[in-house]
Order: sequence, then structure tokens, then C-alpha cells
Amino acid sequence: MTPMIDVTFLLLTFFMLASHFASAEKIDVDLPQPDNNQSVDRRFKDKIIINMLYHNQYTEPSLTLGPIVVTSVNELSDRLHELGRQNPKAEVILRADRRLSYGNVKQIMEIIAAEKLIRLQIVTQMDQP
Amino acid sequence: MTTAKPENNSPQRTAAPISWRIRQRRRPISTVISLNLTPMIDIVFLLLFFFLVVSRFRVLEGMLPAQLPAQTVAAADDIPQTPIRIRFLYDSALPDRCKVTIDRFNETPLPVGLLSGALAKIRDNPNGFDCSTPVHMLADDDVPWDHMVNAYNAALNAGYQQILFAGSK
Repeated sequence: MTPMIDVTFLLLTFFMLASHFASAEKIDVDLPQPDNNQSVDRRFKDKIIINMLYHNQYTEPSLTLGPIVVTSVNELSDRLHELGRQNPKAEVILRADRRLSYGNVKQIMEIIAAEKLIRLQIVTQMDQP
Repeated sequence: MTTAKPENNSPQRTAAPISWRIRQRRRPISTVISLNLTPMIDIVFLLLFFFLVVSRFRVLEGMLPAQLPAQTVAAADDIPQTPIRIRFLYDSALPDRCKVTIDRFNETPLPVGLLSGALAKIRDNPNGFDCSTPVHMLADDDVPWDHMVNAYNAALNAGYQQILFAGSK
């Protein structure tokens, strides 16, 4: 039985180290993966995460502001207004699905700019080492 | 006359000396001591299944820095530089679903993958273009976001510092 326990412990340790829990803020999004990616893994203290999820080309993308589901662009605007008032120097982290059209993303970028949040980070998927 | 031999189980023969009996009592009892591993294995398996189901492997994410317009009036002495204009035109017939042109430099469409090289060539052009030259990205609304990020990344890769997404008119 000892080898089995050894292997089980090994597997347990591997999964504990190699995996991470699903973050409520970072929803699973198919991010753009540009060639020769210039993006850098950064950590920000003050951040506002916006997720844009793709469903199909005929429906509008779903929006979440961190873990909060946002039902309309007006609601997003109101919430960003409040967050921008509390911390105007917050970094806006835009996690938009690669299959979305530029028009969808542009609309959100314009809302962010209208709330005087000027620091934007476009999230991409980096190459695996 | 025969004399009866004393039997083996006679009390005289079986009675061992006291010293021998004491030694026998002191001998360690040969019982098997084993740890019950079943609950531990149960818990370890439970944890293993938990991590197998709940966890997912990390996808490395990076960020491309950008800045949105602050909606302030530019200073009067700012002389606007001639920008490099990259145009993205939606074309559903193409496999990339868009064609990319650079005004005055690449009027014939080029693939997004070659944009970085084309922008680097313009930067090295002696006609007053350098890394500080603004790059404007003008795109149709239907152009995939993936291409825009690719182009933004290509301009960053070519060393440009001012890359602007054109907004709605």
C-alpha cells in the first residue's frame, strides 16, 4: 500500500502547487494572443477589472465589473463613475474576448474615458514558457 | 516388581523453577502493532479529488499599457506631428476578415503579421519619422478585436510610444 500512498501524495502536492482557484474577478475569457507579445505580467494595487465575454456574433457581449455582472452599458457607466470618484488613478484592466468586434470594445473604452479613468491595461494571453 | 516411571506431566516434572518463570513473564509480548491508515487515505483521496475538480491550470496573462484621452484641451504651442495612420477595413471575404493598409506607405493591403516589420521600416525612414511619431489606428467596427490587439502589439514592438485607437466621430 505504501507506493500507492506515495503516488497519491505526489499527485496531491502537484495539483496543490500547479493549479490555482478560479477567480471570481477573472472570468474565463479567450484573450488575444499576439505574436511576439510585448505584454508584461503586472500587479496593481488599485484596479478595476472589466471582463467582456463573447457569445456569438449576433448578441452583445456580457459584461462583468470584477465579479459583478453588469446588465447594461449605462449600469457600467454608473458603477465606473462611482469607482472613478473614489479612486481616479485606478488602473482599468480590460479583459476582452479576442472574437469580439472592435466596435464592442471601442464602446467600452469610450465609457471608461468618459469617466475620466485614463489608465488602461489591455490584457493578452502570454506564451507559455 | 516393576517400578512405575514418573510421567512427563507429573507436577514434579512440569513445575519449572521460579527463576525460569520470572524470565518467561518478562519476555516481550509478540503482538503486531499497526497504524490504521484508512481514514488518512480517505482524506487524502478526498483532497485529491477536490483539487482535481476545483482547480485549473494557470494561463499566463500579460498587459499592454494604454492611455485613454483625458479630454483636456491641448496646449497652444503643441505642434501636432504627422501621424502614421493604419487603416483596418472589414472584409468578410478574406480569411482574416479585414485588410490592413498604412496611409502613404502601404496602400496595398498587408497581413497583420507583417505590420511590425512595416512600422519598423517607417520608423527608420529618414523623412522625420521616429518612435515619438503618433500611430493612429482607424478601424471599422466589425474588425475583430484580436487584430487590433495584434496591431497595437506590433506598434509597441516597433518602438512607437504614442499609439492611439481612433474613437467614434
